[in-house]
Amino acid sequence: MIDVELIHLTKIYHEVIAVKNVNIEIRHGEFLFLLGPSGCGKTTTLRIVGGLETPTEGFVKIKGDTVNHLPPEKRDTATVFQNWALFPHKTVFENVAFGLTMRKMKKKLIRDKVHQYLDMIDLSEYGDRYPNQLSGGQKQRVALARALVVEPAVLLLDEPLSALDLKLRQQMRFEIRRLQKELNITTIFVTHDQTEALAMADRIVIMNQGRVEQIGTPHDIYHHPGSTFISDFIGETNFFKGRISAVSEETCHIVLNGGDILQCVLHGEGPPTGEGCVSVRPERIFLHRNVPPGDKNVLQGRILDVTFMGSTVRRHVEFNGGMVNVDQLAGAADDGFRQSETVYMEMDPRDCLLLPD
Amino acid sequence: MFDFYRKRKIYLIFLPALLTVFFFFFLPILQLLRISFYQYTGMGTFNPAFSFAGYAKFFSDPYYIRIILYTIKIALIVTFISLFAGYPVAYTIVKASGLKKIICLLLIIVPLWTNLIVRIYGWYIILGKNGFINILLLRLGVIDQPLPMLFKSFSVIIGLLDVVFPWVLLILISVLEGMDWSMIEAARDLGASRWKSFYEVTFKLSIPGVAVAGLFAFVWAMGEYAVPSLLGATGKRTISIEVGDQILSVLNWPFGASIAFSLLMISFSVLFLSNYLTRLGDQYKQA
Repeated sequence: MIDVELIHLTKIYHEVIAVKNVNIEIRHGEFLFLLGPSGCGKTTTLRIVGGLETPTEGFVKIKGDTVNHLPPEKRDTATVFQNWALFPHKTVFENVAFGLTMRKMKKKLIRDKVHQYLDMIDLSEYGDRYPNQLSGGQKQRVALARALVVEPAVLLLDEPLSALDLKLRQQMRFEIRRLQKELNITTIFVTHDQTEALAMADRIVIMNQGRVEQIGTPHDIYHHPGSTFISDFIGETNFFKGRISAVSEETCHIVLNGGDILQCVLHGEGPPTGEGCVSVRPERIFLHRNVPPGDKNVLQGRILDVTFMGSTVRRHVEFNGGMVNVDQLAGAADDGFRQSETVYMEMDPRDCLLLPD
Repeated sequence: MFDFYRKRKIYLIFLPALLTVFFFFFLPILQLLRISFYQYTGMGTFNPAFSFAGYAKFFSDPYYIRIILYTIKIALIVTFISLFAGYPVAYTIVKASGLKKIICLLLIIVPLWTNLIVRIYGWYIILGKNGFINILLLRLGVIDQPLPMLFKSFSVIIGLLDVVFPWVLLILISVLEGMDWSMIEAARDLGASRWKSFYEVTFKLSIPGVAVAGLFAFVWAMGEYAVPSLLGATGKRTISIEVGDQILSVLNWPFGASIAFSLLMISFSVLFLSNYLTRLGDQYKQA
């Protein structure tokens, strides 16, 4: 079942296009991420769904009904704001009860529901406190409970974790995803943090300059990015630029500017021509002291520098025509290639992804 | 970190200001307080005795009680009008943007650069028998006799509003300017109508600021001298006018000083009362 439909959504502010022809369908219970750099239109899209902005063109459908004309208070959505926007003059209980009070529910029912949701976020003891007596993580959970308690058809989250420190952020990621799955609530989560999106999402919508660049599962987006922008934005990658030659049904060759040749496995987008850009993830490149056997891609290079990154070790390798980052698990790197050593970089053609330049 | 601030000598910077306040404000006030207990012996002379006679007279004589009540009434009217009229104006200005906002702020501030006496005489031109409003209403045929508007409570209230209103506006603007508008969006998002979200969030959060503005208006209106003396009715006097008369005309300094201190006490008690009341509604600010 489709819970939310965005059809030809466009938003123009004073001749600046913030959102351009966005089409997304969100299934019931799905955890969908809008991911992109700041200014890509992801927050505007979310605000349009919540009714806090009006689209210049296009439609928003929730559970099959067009809601364009409905003000935020009449929509079956609830938002967790970036700064949480808790009411400082109301207690935690009153904050969570707010949406129910506005719906004129019976006092007793409100009390039960608020307690149920305060329990759910482990803050049942904190009902009498004021927001400024809470820590960042607690405020965040109150904001979440305040939105969830009205049992909206769609939960909207606008970078709710960006104000928390890393440890807390990771913990909250897990907690929000657990609640989302437990309540099976259709959720749209806006973030610029790709690790957050990869870790939590069912599907990710990558946005750039107001447009949708790609929609897919985290696995799809990471391993089959549709453009150099996405490949660069999601995770880290190395780009090899060159001229396309020797195209066959399944593979092609890229002649790099330095003369080296890379073989790529094609993914059936039709035969590529002209210039191309190959993306290879740093963890998919393997270093050898001698030319490795087999028919994989091998480039000769020299280690310029070694960076210790905790769980991994990164080697910056200079080769004929460029620089490549190569990551290896720190344990595996103990035998260690040292600076200025000559190495052979092995890359599986299946890990060499040809992208339109 | 900043050794500079730890050195005591930094407080020397405040010394000229402290001395000025002490000699030119604190000492005269103390002197006045002392005189207020003296005994009046007629014809501008007085005895350095210790008597509560002035205070007793001021708070018991029906004539003066009427003056006290009249002053409080006028000050309350001015306070409420400036708050009720000021809030929507301040709200609109805060919500405006760009050039519109700058022009509005200038419209509030520029009159403050004009001398108060000049502004009061301006009201003569507007409210007088042959003033702007009367001529307009006569020409339109709304009235056939000029309305007596000058030298009435009405003109005193208008004059006090002229003095107090810009400041009340500036206070309310600064209060609303600090509002986090995403809370309004949150309220709307949770099902509150436009009006309800304003009441539940913006208004409730601005109450302490409104109290400050109201207090400011009240205390100023209570003590203002120029407006009631130039625009006031002869029969209806305010406390400050009475102080002026006792000291300047009757030359009864002890009684004038007693009245002045009574006014100060009334203003202070209102100040403490409202401070106490807003503190009550304000516990959420403590953490």
